[in-house]
Amino acid sequence: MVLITLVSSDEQNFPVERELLKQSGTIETLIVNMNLDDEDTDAAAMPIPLPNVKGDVLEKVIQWMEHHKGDPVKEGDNEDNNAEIVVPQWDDDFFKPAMYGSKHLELTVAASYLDIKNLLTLSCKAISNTFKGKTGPQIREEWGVPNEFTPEEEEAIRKENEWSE
Amino acid sequence: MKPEENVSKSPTTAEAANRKRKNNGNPEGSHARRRLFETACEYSNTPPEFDRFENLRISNDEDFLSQLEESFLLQIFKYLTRTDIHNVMAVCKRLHRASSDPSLDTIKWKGGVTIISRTEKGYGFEHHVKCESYPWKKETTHKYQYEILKIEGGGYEEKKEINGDLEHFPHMSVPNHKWQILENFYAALKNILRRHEATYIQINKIPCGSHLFSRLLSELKDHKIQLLECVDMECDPTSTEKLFFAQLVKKVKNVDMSRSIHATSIINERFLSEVGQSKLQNFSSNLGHQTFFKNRFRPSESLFPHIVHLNSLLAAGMIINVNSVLKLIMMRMDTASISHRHSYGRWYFTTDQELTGEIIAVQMKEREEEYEYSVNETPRNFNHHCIIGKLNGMEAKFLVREIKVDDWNEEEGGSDPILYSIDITFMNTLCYKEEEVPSISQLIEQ
Repeated sequence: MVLITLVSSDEQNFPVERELLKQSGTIETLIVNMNLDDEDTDAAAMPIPLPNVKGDVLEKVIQWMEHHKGDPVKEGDNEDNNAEIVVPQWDDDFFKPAMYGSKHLELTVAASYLDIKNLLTLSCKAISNTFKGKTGPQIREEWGVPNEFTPEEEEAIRKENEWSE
Repeated sequence: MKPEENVSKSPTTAEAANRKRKNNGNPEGSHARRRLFETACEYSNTPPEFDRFENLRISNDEDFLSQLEESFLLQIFKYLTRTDIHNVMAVCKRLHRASSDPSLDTIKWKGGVTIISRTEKGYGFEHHVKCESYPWKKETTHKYQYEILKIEGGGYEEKKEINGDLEHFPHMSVPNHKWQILENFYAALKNILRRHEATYIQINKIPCGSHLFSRLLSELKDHKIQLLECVDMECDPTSTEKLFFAQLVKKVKNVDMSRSIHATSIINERFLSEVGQSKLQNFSSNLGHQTFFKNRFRPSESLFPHIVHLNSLLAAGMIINVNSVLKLIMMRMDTASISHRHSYGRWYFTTDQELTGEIIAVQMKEREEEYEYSVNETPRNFNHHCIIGKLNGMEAKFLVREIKVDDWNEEEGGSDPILYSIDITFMNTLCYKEEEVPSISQLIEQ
């Protein structure tokens, strides 16, 4: 089993199975461009630095990739199916503990930076699920967002429609 | 996976180069590591959102959501419905701005009925919003109305109303003008359809050469249209509008032209071969009206693969050679048997000679192991033919009737001005499902 070492921004090393890294477009491109797959190249001697991902977030990303090992990697973006995407139970449980805090958002940002499309999709979908069926004030309360609107502005938003725009 | 303990930290460029030289004296390896590090750093610059996000995280440890970079907010919002996006607008100013982004305009208020009409003195449209959760809806529907009129002495006048009752509107008026539809009309329509889905569209009394269809094609590109109904549509057989109309039909599931008796020249072999293999499932034109027989066409068998996917096809002017009819019916049954979408459908077309039980029996000989044929004579001397798929559960019941055609001419071959209509009901007895397509008038009344 070939291992490649990822180095987080706080300089923690994570030896990861080569196969898992195919889920990350960013790392896969690095591996291919640097010929790390070549037999002549000593991949173990070339850790991949990820200066934008902290160790605790990278650990979560690797945990997610391990669970999704072998899943087909999403190609492009299918707008038609956005509403039909369902977050599987395992992923829901994985995201839930950190949902309303910074950790989940950091994971989402890391998924974008590492170009892990399936993780980004499910992570964003999980956040969007917290908005479903909720009013503006309810979302504000759940996510700890202060109300910046004056009563007049709130009324104007409520009345906005297509002829008035 | 836990971070590995006691492993060397990631090398800086200089450290990596020194270590590699010390180990094996191979400067190529250190060069590769330097490139790897530099490339990784380049990648780190690609999402500027991250750095900004990091800063934001430090500055405000509570409200992460509203300070998240807009590109991420848009990624999240694209999984919402229009109702949810409307609610998100009221959260804070940043989310209000992000949720107003044009990239989210593909997410629309569902279930809209759009009626476009030539009115007595101009053109207009109504858009009825049927969406249950529409926030401005006070009664069963919310209606936007628009009309543009030319006024005496030049110029024009625009009228806009919400849930109002515009004079001359909607479509009971008798227009006596054919002037071009003005840009203002399209701008107003675009404004409404930007975030409202035109699920059902009715087009009334639009004259040929109006360029409406070419404009609708672009305005409706991200709409999922269930039904397009054309009423009193006029069409010049040489008009390029026909091509745009075909393009529009390809985006639609159901097309009803039964109230457009003067536009039957649109329906020909080329049109059907173009629209047949698209989203279109049901196409109907008026049955039995003389105009439909007047604009008749005799397609070759090469058309058949293009139209067998249609659930329903009511095209009286399509005259099929009597020796090809059974082939077409069985092709339709073969296709339907492998697709649940085609569990029920009706076809109506014409044949040039009477399709008798004897002709059917001869033509079915080659496939008698797969299909079974029977015939019942009804009290009014009509024969009810029935073909049943022994293996796939498909059933086709059809009636053959004589039609007298007034304007038959010698060039068309044969001197007998008689055609025969074939009215077929297809059913998959294993997964029967009749899909009801509501009419526009039913939708408006609801």
